[in-house]
Amino acid sequence: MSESLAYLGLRADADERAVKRAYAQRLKQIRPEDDPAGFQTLHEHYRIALEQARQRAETTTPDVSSAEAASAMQWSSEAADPPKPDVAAAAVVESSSIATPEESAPLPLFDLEAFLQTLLAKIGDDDPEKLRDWLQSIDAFWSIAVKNQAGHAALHKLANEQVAMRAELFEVLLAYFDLDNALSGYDHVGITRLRDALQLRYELMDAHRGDLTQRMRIEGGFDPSQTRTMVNALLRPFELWRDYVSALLPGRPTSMVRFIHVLSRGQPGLLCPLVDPQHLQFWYGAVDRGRFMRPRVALGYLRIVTMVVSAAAILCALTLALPPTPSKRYELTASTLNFFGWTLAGLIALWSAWLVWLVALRWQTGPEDGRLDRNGIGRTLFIPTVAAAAAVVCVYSPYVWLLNLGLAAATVVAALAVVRFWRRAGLRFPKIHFGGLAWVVLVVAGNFSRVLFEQGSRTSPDYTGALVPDGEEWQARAFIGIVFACVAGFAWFVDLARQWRVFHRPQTATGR
Amino acid sequence: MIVGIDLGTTNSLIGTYAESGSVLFPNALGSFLTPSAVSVDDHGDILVGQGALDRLITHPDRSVAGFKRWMGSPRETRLGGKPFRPEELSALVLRSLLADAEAALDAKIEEAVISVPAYFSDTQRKATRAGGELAGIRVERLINEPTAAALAYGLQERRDGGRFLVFDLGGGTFDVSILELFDGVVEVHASAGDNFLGGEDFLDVLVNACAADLKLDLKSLKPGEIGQLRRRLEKVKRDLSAGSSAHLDGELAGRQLDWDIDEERFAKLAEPLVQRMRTPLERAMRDSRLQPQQLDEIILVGGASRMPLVARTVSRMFGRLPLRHVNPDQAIALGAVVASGLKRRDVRLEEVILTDVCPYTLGTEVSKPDHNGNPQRGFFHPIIQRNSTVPVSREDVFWPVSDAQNHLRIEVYQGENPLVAKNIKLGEVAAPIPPRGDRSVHVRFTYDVNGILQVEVTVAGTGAKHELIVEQNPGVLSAQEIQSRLATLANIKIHPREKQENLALIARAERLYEENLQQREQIQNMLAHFRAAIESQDERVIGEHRRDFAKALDGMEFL
Repeated sequence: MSESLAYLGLRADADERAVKRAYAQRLKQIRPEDDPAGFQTLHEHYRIALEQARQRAETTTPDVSSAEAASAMQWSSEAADPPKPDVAAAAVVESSSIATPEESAPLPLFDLEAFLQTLLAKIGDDDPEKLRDWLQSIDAFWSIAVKNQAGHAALHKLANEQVAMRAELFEVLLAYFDLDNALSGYDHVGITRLRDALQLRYELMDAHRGDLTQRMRIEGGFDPSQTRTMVNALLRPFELWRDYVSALLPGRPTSMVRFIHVLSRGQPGLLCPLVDPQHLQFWYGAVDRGRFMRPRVALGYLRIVTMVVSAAAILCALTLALPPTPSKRYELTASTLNFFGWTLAGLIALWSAWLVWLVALRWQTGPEDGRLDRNGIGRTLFIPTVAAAAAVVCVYSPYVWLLNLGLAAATVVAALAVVRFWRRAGLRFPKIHFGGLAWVVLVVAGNFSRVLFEQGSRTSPDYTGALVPDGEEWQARAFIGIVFACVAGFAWFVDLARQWRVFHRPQTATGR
Repeated sequence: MIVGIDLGTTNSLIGTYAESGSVLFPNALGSFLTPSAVSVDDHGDILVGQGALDRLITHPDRSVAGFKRWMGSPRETRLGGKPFRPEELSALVLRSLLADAEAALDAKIEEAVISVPAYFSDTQRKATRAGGELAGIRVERLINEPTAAALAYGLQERRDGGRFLVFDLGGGTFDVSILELFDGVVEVHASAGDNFLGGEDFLDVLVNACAADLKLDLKSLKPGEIGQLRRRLEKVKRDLSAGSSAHLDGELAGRQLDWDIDEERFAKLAEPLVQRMRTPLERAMRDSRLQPQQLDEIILVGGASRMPLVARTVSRMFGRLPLRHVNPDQAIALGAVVASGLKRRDVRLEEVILTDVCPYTLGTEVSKPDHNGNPQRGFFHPIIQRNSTVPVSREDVFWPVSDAQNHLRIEVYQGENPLVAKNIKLGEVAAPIPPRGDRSVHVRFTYDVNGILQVEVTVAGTGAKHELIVEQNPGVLSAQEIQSRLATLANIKIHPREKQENLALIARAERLYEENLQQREQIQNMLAHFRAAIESQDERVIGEHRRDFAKALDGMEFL
């Protein structure tokens, strides 16, 4: 015996009439105006009891009130799950046989399959008015039950078939079948996605390229020729070399990804049946700064090689045009190649170092949960350990190379600690163009090495023949190393303290 | 004393629950229906009712009607240089109605139950309440119009109970309600509607068709001329309800009008409007989880439901003919009167209890994960689903989308669309959430009998509670604004009830003068005589003149 029936003071076999009578009785005491909470409880129990009474009536004596039973059944089937796509076509026949036992009015006969076929044909017309008029002119849809089922079936048909449809037409369809409604029982994220997918397929059809060009110009600022090339590049079957070659142009991957983004309204997955997913993987991989995707790493190397090799080739070709002294020419070519070889090696080393730096930064700046567990301990203690080691090396190093190594380590770890603090505290770097920053770093590094070299030349060769700085210089380097190590330690400590405060004393952290 | 009022788009009625049951009060002109029209005369005094409706043609810049459609909006109408909000215009109509009732009852009226379309929103309901306050009464309860109609019908005709569908097509609004009556309980199962669909729209269709056929440029016509055209076409519309075709003739803007329309053409023109009636009907049926054959009766109310095409639509959808023997103009008012009796706990009605529903879905904005698990924002999450029986209180739990979030903004929306952008925003609450521990937020929506929504947000981690601060809605008057407007309204003189009859007659004569080119001189003479009679201030003379004058005008009236 259910709780609701007990609440209403009814026996387990109470019928609908008895439930209503009991409810009416109770309502005299619990008035909605006077006791809202009590009324809500009463009403909920009443709803449940009524539903149970109906179901009982249906299971025990299905012929007592077929209409009631039909409604209860329809409700329960609606509540359970919206019709599945593959059974939707059969649903009309089936449910009409359920809903019409003997005497109640039969559903009008309706050929659902024919309707769906015509619908697919009609959406090619792309005139929302026409579609609406056509839908409104279907007489069978004056029956509410038929209309409901046809609406669900139409939606499933569109989701399953790879058809193109303008969003306006889709809206008309939704509005007509009243599926555009928060309580329609559908996942609206899915419906929004379906609409976008249909619209995208429509836009990518050759006949509607003009509209697409227009939209891309307005929304993304792409000129028509760009749109044309990019759409063509995307619709081609995937070939790795072709994408790599086109990606060598600086800025190309970024603009391509922006194009894909605008084109698919932020949902690149929608492009997939039409565009090879490998294209998307490649282009997204080529711009992803957050992760280290193969296309981006490889493109970096490839660009360096291409740049240097082509520059070398041009210079070599120019040397051919010089006055004819073959040995001189040979010498020139050799020195050019030598120079570019070193440049190539240097740039590759720089790019690799930059990638390593990024990996380290990524590892260090990730979010922490404030607990020093086994997984996080290495990451948390990396900076102080390295900084301490570097300081020790700077102070006690017997060899100059070790001193230099310590100095370098201290410098890097200081930078890492500062950036780590900076990022995790949510501070923003002042707006500096990234390329510009790289130049500054290069110039500083270049000058620094020049200074080192000049100072090194002032020193005397030791027994191994290596250049050893004099005592004063040695001390200066060690001092710099220690300063950097201290900076690293300090930044690390400040960051840790901030983390600690955020995670262990929440009220001061949020403040509001 | 408590009264029931039907404040309609085109006509308003007032009544009370007396010994013999529901009683409606006639106005000064002897009619139950007082047109919801307001006019300001040359001295800045107010005229309400039939006279104001007539003055809509002669003084279009000083008269207004159909303002119920603007309820809940900050729109102001300038009448004779003074701005009026829709609430104030409603208050003026209410005052006139109250004067009629007070004259009949000889007692002061303090409270009223006012009927509103079931599909009126929170803002529109508040505006209606404000209108009542401006008229100097306390609005005890707002009752939904279809519910009122069913109440009147059910209690009079079917004491044994049953399920009804009430189809209420008024002058400006369309409502559908499905109700059940059993053991003294009137239970509303579902309501749906369209606030911008009514008789006026059908009239617009006729006006546009007529203008297109006769090559009239509506934009170049003066407001008064458009008023004349509408008035004549209103007659055509009524003729179409009675017969299969109708004829329009007369003069307008120096042109002879001659236009025919038959039922079939009208049905075709009105097809888009008829289609708009389908969705609310379907929605109400779906929400009430009933099959058409389970309905015992379909009741048509509202003046515009007299049109045969309405009955045809209903029978097409439900496979049966609707009931027509209730008086569509008075059903709602009678129901409002019964509701006022219920409110007073009248002994004869003690047995009846009414439960109503909330016609809209109320909810908040949420982000939902897409197929990749990325949150997509802008989705509507229903908390109180439409057609829940009120009073109702429901709670839902929400979590922040990201770890870095330090507060949760609960935006409250009303509407049916799955995207909040297409719904109506009612307000928002911002709740700070702790960075660790229980980061959930409990949101409780409480919707009371009078359709007032309360939102309470509880942060589970800290136990802090926040209440909804309703956004400064330009459509709602604040308490201070109501007070200040009450003061300004008090300065406006309303013509006393005794004078109403004379003024209405003058307004009518002036309208006929405007419409009628042949007998202008005659009307002018009669008008001069009548004015002279009024000058004499002799009640007997005025009465005599009034009778003769009215009779003469009746002869000239073409509708």
